Amino acid sequence: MKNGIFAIINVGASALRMQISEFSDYKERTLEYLIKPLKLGRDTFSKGYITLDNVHNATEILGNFSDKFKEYNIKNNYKAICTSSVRDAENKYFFIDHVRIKTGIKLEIIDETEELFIKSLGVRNDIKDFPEMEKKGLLFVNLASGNIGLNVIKNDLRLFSAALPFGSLRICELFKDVNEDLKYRAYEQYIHKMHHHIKNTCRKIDSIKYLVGSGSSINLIIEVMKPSNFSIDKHSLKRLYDKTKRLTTSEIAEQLNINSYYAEILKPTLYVYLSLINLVKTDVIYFSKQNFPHQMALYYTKNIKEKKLNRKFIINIKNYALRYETDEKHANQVAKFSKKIFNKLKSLHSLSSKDLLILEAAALLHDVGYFIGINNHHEHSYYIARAFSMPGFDAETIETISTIVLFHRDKYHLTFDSRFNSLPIEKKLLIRKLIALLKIADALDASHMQLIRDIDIDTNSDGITLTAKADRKPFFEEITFYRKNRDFLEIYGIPINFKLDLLNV
Amino acid sequence: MSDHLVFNNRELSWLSFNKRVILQAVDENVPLLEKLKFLAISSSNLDEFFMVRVGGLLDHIAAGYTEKDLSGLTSSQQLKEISAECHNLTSIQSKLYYDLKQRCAEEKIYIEAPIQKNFEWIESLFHEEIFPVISPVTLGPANPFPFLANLRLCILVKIKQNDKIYDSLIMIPEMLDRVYNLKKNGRSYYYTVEQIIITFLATIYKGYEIIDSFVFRITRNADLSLQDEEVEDLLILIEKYLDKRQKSNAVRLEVNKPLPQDLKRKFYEFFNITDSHIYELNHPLDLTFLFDISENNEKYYYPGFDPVLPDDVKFKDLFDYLKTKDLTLYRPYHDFGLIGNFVQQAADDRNVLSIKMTLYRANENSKIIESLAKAAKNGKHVCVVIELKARFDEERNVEWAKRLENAGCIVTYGFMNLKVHAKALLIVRKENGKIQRYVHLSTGNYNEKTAGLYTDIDYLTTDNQITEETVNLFNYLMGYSDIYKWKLSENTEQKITTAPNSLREKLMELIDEEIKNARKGKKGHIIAKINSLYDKEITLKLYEAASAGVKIELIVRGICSLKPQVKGLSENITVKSIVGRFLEHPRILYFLSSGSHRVFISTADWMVRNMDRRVELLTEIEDKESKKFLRKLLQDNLKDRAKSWYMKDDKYFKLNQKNNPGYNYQEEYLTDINNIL
Repeated sequence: MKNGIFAIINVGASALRMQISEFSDYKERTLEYLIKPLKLGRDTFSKGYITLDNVHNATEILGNFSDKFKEYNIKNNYKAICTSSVRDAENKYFFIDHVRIKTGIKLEIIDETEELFIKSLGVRNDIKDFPEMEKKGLLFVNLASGNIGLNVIKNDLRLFSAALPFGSLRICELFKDVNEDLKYRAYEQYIHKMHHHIKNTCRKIDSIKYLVGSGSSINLIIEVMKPSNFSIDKHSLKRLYDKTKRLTTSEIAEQLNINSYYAEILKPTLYVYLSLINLVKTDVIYFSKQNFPHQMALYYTKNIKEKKLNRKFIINIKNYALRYETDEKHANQVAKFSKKIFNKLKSLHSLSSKDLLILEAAALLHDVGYFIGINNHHEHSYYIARAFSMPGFDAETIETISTIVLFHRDKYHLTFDSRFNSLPIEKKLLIRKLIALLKIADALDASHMQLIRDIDIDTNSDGITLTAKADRKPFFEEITFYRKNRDFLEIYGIPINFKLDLLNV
Repeated sequence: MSDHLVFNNRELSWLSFNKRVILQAVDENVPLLEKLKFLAISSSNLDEFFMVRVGGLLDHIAAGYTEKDLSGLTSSQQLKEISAECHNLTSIQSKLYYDLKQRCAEEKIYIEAPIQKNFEWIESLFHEEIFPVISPVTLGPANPFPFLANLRLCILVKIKQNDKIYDSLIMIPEMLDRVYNLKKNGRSYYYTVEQIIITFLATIYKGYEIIDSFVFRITRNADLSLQDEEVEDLLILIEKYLDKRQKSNAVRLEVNKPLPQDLKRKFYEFFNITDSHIYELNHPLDLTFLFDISENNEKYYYPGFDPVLPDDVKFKDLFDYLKTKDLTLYRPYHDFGLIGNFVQQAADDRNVLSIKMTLYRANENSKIIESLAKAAKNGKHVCVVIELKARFDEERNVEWAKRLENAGCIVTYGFMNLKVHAKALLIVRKENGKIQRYVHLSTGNYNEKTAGLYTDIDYLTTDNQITEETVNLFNYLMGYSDIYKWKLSENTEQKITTAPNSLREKLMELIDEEIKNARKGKKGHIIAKINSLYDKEITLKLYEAASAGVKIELIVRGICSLKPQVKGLSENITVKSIVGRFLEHPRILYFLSSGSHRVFISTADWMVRNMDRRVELLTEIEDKESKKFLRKLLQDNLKDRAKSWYMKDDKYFKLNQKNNPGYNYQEEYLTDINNIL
């Protein structure tokens, strides 16, 4: 956003927050920042749903926030985002609907990866050395009340990315009935599981040199430890933990002069950071004081974005595919042909560049399932593709990619599958359009021998002619092509024909 | 050192303030009828003191509360000293009353004038207006005292018929005027209603012989609750026993002449009142009637004045002005109307998005309230934080609150257990597509009427940090946001500090800094102009600072728990109290702070209730010109002689001589504030 006023509402696990930002020439100025404590997370993490009382409390607070919309004439220039406490609640749709009816505010739920992405973008925008750290190896942590988001990056490659249920309030709720004196031991055992997970899934974690923390937990640590610069060292963290682990919540509140909520979540917060710092090769945690609403305000107004995000995405997809020992040459060949067909037929399909990215990713991943077994490899490819996540790409995009991967095989017809039928009509159309292209591209390297070096595409009155350039006649490719080109006719209404152009003959 | 040597008692300290008010009546600089007003004010102050403070102490005794106060006195010891001091005050009042009466007579203004002079006029007045509405009740075993309302004037008449003596009671109806005035041949005669009734007792009691009559009234324990600010400190102590309070109990009996023993006994019995609470005056009761002595002659009054504005702000658009510089004004010398006009201008301004303000005590027909309602009707976002618990103002407040709500303002009523004393106004305007904010902070209420009687600071600014902190303050007050730990700014040192959260701490830090500097051999200096100081922690801190070598100059109008100029305790501390034409009301603080000369304005007195049970503001003023203005103001307050009382230990005295009153800062400011500040 170049000029104007934009509002962010964040329904978090421990508080509702609102930020109103004014942009002039892309410069942000925070006009107002509101915060009202409300522990929705306590409901969701212990009961699984938001109690009616708290639905009403939240609605009342949001109703007040909506006064600000009128004050600044904000209209639709806002994003109202819910994180884990709503995302994980059984009655989330009721909650969202109730809020909309009572206040007019349209809440949206964002998934963990997007949350993590926005936070890392925000922190990158704030910490000067962040790109350098990403090169040398960085564990980026977003410890919030509900979840912990983790991102391990080295040389632009994400080695690990996950959102795990180790948020500080969630941990407290899990062990709320444990005797106060022994709680720290319960926390330690549980957090050990997280440590174990990361260590086993991210083998290169011990080569990571930087740890950057973010999320509401950082405010607590700053409040208690009052670091003079934007970092905390391991030893003072450990000292503080040892000093407080056997204290009760009220003793902590009194001794450290913090509120009782902060006092309650202090132990799990400290121990999570301690166990993370033990995983990596550093003694220091860096942090940024930026808050989430602020980061969202910048993100949703497109005033911060990740540079070369799409390129990084493809690199990460390729890297992911290699982990499953995919046939790299074939995958690259199919990706190359898919892109070419897509670009040549733009006027026919009128899809966007984001859709091209989806197609390319699907092409790279379509055969990863062979890693599991040769039979039904599309099914295996499907779930492997679905397990991919990358900040900046929401779950819906990944789902689209995996669906295309699932149906890339000819014999498997999508109309019989509920995973396809349950999709909205626009999505179905998009997927079918892309599958038609992928199938042709896949056919062009059916033998996995890269016999076809390149292709050309012409449109004439009879339909579309695809000219394959090869130095040998690709028998299998041509047969496969005519088996797989039916989808194309069905969806685009134009036949596509194969023509061979033998090079060097 | 024992407590009474370290702290002054709150009640006695207040009584000594009231004495300074009474003594305005002997100040030669005060015009004649203004002197009468000071007597009237002191009388109404005392009434309230009995209803509230004495009532509260009696509640302590009824609740069995025996703890000692700051000065080491139990509640009953305090009552004993209060009684002695009040008896003393009433004799001063008497003397002054008769002096002034004489002075008035010399000016042909006759108060309690001889009836004979205008007998015919009075007689018809009595028959036409008074007699028809009075109904005497004869008291007897079957007919005991009826319930006598608080502060209602009554006459007890001893009458005789057939050798039998009766007591009869006349409750003077409230509908009657207290004073009747007749102007004739360049003379002015004033008669009190009781004077007229007594004259015609024989008419009222036809067939009876009038033996004697006594004018009296009962003061009752006001039916106050914890929410009432003048008494909450007393009631909090006995919170658990509050249901045991004997509401509406008699706390004082005043009678216009000595009572015979038999009558006294009757009063003891009936009103359950002890000797020390009986005041046998020898002047008319309830001197507030002196407010009604009014003559059409300027020489009897303070000269009128027109409040002014600084030259550079006249004829200038205030929005434009404030974007270039801050503006500091001093009421009543400067025109508070500017603020009303500012709100009005904002209400009509197309670009104004919102107006937010606190309203604690507004006057009737307030222009500001009209403007706010209008702004809301014009589609602006108007938020008003109203404090309803302001004592005795409740009904008036509710009425205008409703008017604002009906106009579409968002009205909130502050907090359950926290009164909002903060005075702030925020105007948000969109200028060239950007948000621009204007803030007005004040030490006084948004009340156009008292703005002419109280001195107060008005500070207007567009300072980024102050406006941002004010935005947060309103979000907090409106319940939109909980400022974390009440911090108004995240990173930098706040310019606005709030009570009850951190104002006390901040004050301590500021004093501590002076102490630290003094101990290092640097200079330490504090000047504070406040209304009251009654707080153990702050008092002790000031003693500590004084003994560390910090120079402390306090200008405390009223209650002061600190004892200045006591050897070994507070030699470095001076306390003065300015009592003059205008009620001194602003709180302005100065700290030398290693030469950075920090200046603050505040809404908070240095009392427990203001520090711990109110939303109050302490604002640092960094604007150079405003700082200069406020520092000069403090210096002139210190320089004042004419209206200043200097304190030593617990006694106040004046330094000026009768023939040379010395510098009178209020008068000087009235003449030419723009050239002084």
